[in-house]
This record gives sequence, structure tokens and C-alpha cells, in this order.
Amino acid sequence: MDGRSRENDGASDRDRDAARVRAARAGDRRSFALLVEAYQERVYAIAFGILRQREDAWDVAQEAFVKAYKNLDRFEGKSAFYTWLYRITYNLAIDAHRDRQRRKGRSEPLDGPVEGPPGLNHPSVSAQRRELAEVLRSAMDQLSEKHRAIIVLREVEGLSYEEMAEVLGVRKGTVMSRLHHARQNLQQLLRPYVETGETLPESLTLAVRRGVGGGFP
Amino acid sequence: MNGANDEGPVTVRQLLREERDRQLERVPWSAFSAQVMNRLESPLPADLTQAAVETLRQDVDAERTAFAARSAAFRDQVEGRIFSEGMRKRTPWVGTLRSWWARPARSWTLAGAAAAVAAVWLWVGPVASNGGPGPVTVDELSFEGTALVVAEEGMTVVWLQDS
Repeated sequence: MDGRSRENDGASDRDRDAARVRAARAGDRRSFALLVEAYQERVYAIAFGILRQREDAWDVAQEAFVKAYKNLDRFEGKSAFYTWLYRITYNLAIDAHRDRQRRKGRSEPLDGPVEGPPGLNHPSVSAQRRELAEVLRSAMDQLSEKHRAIIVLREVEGLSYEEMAEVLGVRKGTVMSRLHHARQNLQQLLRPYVETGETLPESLTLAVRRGVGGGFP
Repeated sequence: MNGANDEGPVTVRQLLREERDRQLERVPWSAFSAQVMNRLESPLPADLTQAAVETLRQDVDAERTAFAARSAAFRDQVEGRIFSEGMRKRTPWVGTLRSWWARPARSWTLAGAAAAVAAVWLWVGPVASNGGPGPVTVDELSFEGTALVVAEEGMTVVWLQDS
């Protein structure tokens, strides 16, 4: 699909959503159901990407639609409906994550520097024996929820910087900066595997040898 | 040095050296990409970070697929919540107004709103008194500002706030 047709599709989606929002405001529940149908998977995916927990993501995704419905009158149509909906989802997911951390009795950094996954450098812990996915998930889980969120929006959902700026309610430059820091922190979390000379899990070895993530030139 | 197909523990640095050696066997040094050397000397290969992102993407995609099977239930539950919360959140109008007044941003409008309500009361009042207790129909009401309509338990209160 070329850029122009994608742009046209985007415009028609936006018009379609705007019409459904108007109808839903007027009391047409079917129109809102169609909006739910159109975006439920992506809303759930964003919530899951941030929270990494199925039940919490399910609740947050539902709450996002309920909140959107209740606040349809506040949707001004300046942005696309989906970026407005994603913003609600993002805020709810961040709140849910913080609540979860509070319940656990510990706090995690929001944007600051991060420490490596616990135990990676500890000689008695055979973290290096973990499977590839577990190691990488561990690093991703250690990332702050805001940084994980921005990676989800960009790398998983494929949003543009402009769309992300609308979702996060920040400037485009802030989005780019935050994404850079998120990647930097992720590197920092994975650094122990390189700098300490710790051996890698076999699956990771094979994956890197096969050129996971672009591989060698 | 271990061959590329050797099994067993290995560090990223070792892997990069293997790659460097493979490149050196294939192409003359002059053509050897500086990129490989950069990767060797960099604190962390981008591949590992990208692999973490790819893992997240795969996790989310797998979860998205699992969700698809439950999407109908999801929609039903959303509709159920909207309906049930709509019913449950119908608090008495006095409570609604009290919470509305409690908002700091609203307090400054109180005097204006009260004046507006008084004006409507004076306007509608005579209509009601003429017909005695019962429904009152207002054919038209024009007001430039924000209106808060609270309808509860057979009573409707319209608060008008100057724009």
C-alpha cells in the first residue's frame, strides 16, 4: 500500500469514527459497539504491553471503553478518536501499574536510570542459563512502565511520532527523547551480558548467531 | 575459537569475534565493514536490544491472538459495564450538585449560576403556579453559556453558567 492510499484510509477511518462518535452521543449504542469492535484488540494490546498481566490488561481495556463512552461529549474531534482512546488507555494502564506497585509495597522508577535485572551479576545465580525469552522479558519488565509504554506504542503498535505525541499529551520532541531514553535504559539493563563476560543462554546464542533483530550485515 | 555451530556457553563478545572472523574469511580487510568493528567495541550490540523489543512484540501479538477468541465476551462485558455503571452511578441530585459545588474551579461560578437559576425560576414559576402542580413544558430556552442538567427522581434542575 502506498503512502497516499494509507493516508486516504486514515482519513476515511477518521471520518467513519467521527460519524460513529456522533451517533453514539445521540444514544446509538450500536455505533459505540462498532467502535469497541474496531479498537478492542489494539486497546487490549497496549494495556497488556504496559502491564504485562492478562487480567489487569483486560480490566484496563474495559475501563478505557467505559470511560470513553462516559466522556464522549468531551471528545472534541481535534484528534483522531483512536488516539484519544489510546490516551485514556495509557493513563489507566499507568495508574493501574502504580496501584499494583503500591500494593506490592515497592516503587519503581518512572523515567530515571535503571538498574540491571536482579541477580544477573551474582555468581551464585545462574541467570545466564535462562532461556532467551526469559532474559529479554526480564529486561523489558524492569523497564519503567512509561518507557515500556512508549516502546509498545512505537514498536508494537507502530504509531507515528505525531500520533504518540497525541496519545501521551506531549510534544513530538519529547516523544523522541523519551523513546531514546527508553532504548538507552533497555541497553543498560542488558549490558551485564556483554560487559561482565557472562555467558549467554544457549537459545540467545543461537538467536544472535542467526541474526535476530536484523542480524549482522 | 569456537566455530559458529559449536554448542555451549558463549558471550556476545565471542559471537561478534566469530562474525568478524567470518567476514575476514569472505572479504578483504579493506572492504571489511567498520560496522562490525563498531559492534565489537560498542557497549552493547543493538541486536540484543532489538531482540528484547522483538520479544515484547511477539508476546503482545500472541496475547492479541488469544484475545481475539474472547473478543465477543469482551464487547458484552463492556456493554454490561456501561449499562450497569450508568444505572449505579445515578446518585440523588442533591449529591450530584454537592460534588459539583465542591470542585474549586466551579465555586466562582456559584453566584452567577444561582442568579441564572433564580432568573429561570422567576420566568418558569408563574407558568407552574397558573397550572398548579404538574408537568411544565418550556417551549424554548435560549442561553449563551454552559448548562448542567440534573434529572433525578422525577425532578429536573437546570443550572446555567455564564460563558
